[in-house]
Amino acid sequence: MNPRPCFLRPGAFVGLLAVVSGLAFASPSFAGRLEENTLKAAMVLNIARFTEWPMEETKGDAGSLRLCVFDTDGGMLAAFRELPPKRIHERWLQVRAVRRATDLDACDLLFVRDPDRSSVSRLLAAIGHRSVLSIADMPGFAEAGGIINLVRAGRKLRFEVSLSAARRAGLKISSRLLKLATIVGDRR
Amino acid sequence: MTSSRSMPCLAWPASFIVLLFFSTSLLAEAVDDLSLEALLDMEVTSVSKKAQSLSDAPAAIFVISRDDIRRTGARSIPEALRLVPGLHVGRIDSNKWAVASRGFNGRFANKLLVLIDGRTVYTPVFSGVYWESLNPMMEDIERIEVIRGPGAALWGANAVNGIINIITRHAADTQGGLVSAGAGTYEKQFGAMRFGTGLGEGVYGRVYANGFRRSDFDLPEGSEGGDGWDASQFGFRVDGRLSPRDSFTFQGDHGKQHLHQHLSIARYSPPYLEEFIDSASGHNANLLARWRHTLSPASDFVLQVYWDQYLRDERILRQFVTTFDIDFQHHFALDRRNDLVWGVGARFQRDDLSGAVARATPAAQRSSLYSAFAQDEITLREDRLWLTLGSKFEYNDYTGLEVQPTARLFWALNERHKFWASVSRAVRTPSRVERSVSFLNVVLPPGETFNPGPFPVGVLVEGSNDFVSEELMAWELGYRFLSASAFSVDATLFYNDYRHLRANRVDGLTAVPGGLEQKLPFTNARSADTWGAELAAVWQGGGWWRVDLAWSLLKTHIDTSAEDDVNPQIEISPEQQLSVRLAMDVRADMTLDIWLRHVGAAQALSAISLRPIQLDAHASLNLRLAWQLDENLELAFVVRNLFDDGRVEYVQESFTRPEGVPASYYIALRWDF
Repeated sequence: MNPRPCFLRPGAFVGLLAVVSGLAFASPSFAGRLEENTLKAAMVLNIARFTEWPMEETKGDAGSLRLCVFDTDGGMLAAFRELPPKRIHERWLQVRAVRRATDLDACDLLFVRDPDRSSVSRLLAAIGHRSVLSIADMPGFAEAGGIINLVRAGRKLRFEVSLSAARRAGLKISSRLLKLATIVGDRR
Repeated sequence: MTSSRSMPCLAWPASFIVLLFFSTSLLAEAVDDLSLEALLDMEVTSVSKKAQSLSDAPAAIFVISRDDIRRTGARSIPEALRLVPGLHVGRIDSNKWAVASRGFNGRFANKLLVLIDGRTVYTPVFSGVYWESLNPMMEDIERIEVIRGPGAALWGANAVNGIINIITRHAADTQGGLVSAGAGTYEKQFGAMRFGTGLGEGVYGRVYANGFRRSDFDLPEGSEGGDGWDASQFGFRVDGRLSPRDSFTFQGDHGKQHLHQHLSIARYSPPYLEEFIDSASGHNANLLARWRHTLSPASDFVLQVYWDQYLRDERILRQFVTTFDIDFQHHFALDRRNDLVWGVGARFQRDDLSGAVARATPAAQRSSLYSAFAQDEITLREDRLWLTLGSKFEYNDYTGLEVQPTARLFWALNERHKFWASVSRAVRTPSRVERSVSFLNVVLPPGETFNPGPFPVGVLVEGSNDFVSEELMAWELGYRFLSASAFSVDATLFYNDYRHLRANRVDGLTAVPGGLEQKLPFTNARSADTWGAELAAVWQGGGWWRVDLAWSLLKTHIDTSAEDDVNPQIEISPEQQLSVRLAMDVRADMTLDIWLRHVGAAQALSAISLRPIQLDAHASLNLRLAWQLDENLELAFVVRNLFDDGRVEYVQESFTRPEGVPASYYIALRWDF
């Protein structure tokens, strides 16, 4: 076989660089845009700010709010971990990776990413009616008994709230949050 | 032909990437301080976070995401598999691929377990995969999980050097319509359609249809390879819940391929090879049902049944294979320390083989396989240290009971540094060909190096009832690292010790019409060891670019010194491979992906050329540029194998001649509604 010439010679390289940097620098600002998982993580924090846990349900260290993350692909866990230390309702947010449904004892929030839906039932059964704010980003989460679901609408994010599920969990969700949400399930 | 010559080529792109990093300022926004209203107003970038290194699996796992598939512009599964370190993907011709993990590649490579949504797709005929018959809609693949190394304890026989698990999207995630269509030079035309809708409370469904036409590759002399093909596939998937504790999946596909191939078949008269264009066809159909029942937060079980049938008709062999498989798996936490999963399964297969080149005795055969497995994940220190012990027990008609144990240890030093180690035994049970099929591989012309005598000698490769399972003992070490922000690494070291690998021995020489026939029955006379390293790294910047790097090293030592081993040829997979992919949002509405690959020199078997074929080290470049014309409409332009037109990537072991992979481009439109 004949040896082939080096496929990317300096000339081609410089050309490519010019094209790419041209595109990059001629581009409109990237302000107003965020990586999807980062945006979702920020939304989860905001949603937590507008949620009220019953006083007696403070678990673990009284000073911390435990966010448990069950994430089969790792993207959300990484996004939560990259957030700077945060206080919500005077409690420090603590992010914890969860591998099993039986590890949810001390959670105040649960984020679920499980595109195959193979663990959702067990996770929700493990929470039962305890005051855990369950959040996911998959269609059908509310029907399965979850409280909040983040949904993509084009390139933006929206969220659905199941009021009945929130009530079962004894969580109060502020009306300011509900105004921005799509309410699913029964409204009573 | 050496890697030393083409490595400098990669120095340019590498410096280009470094320059890009320094020419951009990272967007470090205090996102957590934004109000909810402001967040709802934000748009998401199309480069999404990837974190393989967060995995707590004590195995060499790599996940190809939906985004990766879309942004590489891959139109077939093997093409997407080129992203994975430790895997070698060689294109043979327009409709054939060789795919292997950690060595021993070939069109008829046999040490991989490939599954689509839990359904085994390797054929019992030769224990390999007809990649051209797997044509799910690429847009509806959720992810492709690739485990290098043995996974036999959970997955069973054939999971020797790796498992490729193709998982399509849950029906709830594919609601609405999608139409994609395109055209180009190699990808002449393609189109796919999907429609998904709710079917009741908590029940979702979709139907899809997918089809394409692909053109010929070229023979190295420049003439057309005569290997163009077209394929279509349609199917459905329904996912739903019957109660809060019960969910089910029901799915099925039907596919059809019209293949052409340039065959070179041995014969006893000059020129001892008959060359012609063969029109082949493939049909495949399957139905699968799965029921998952949650018993408690600590326990659930899954019952899965499937039926699968394929008919492949080509000059070499006509195969009609039906499979029925039933599997039960129960997972439960025994206590806070022990997480158990166990299961039982049975598989029944019936094949019917006939053909002009390969002869099966008997022509039709039924076989059954019974299996059981158990695995315990023991928490030694909470959130820090786990030990996994497990084994699979399989009973097959050819070799009886096979035991495949594994022990794996996972240690999370902290959230940033994780280590794992494993030792496993795996077997590859014999295929139908190895036991009871014979074929005339080549006829040696008289008076030449390999046959100085006066008569042509036909080499008849023959299945043997003495052929038993190939065995592997594998040792692996892994390390995963995640930096504070956006850099992660996943590294693996392995050593594989193989026994009883397939070889051929010399049997009787008999007179046949036209010459002599030398029988070469299969034996287990060969042994080998391989070691290597694999590295996957991701570097993410400011939400608008990401670099994925995959590097692999593989050292292969094959011992052919056994007296019983006459096979003069050995396969050697590339010693080094490198893939660097840069994904960027170059503008708010435009994405660019640059994908460079370097593949080291390799050696492939070739019966018809009488000696192994040396494949040069090479580098190749793919580009994809896509515009978001509006929220739901995307136009993409994809270039493949730029500057590397006509390179022979791989050759089939028998029956075909080398063909070059052309450079190509295509344009595609995708509309979500």
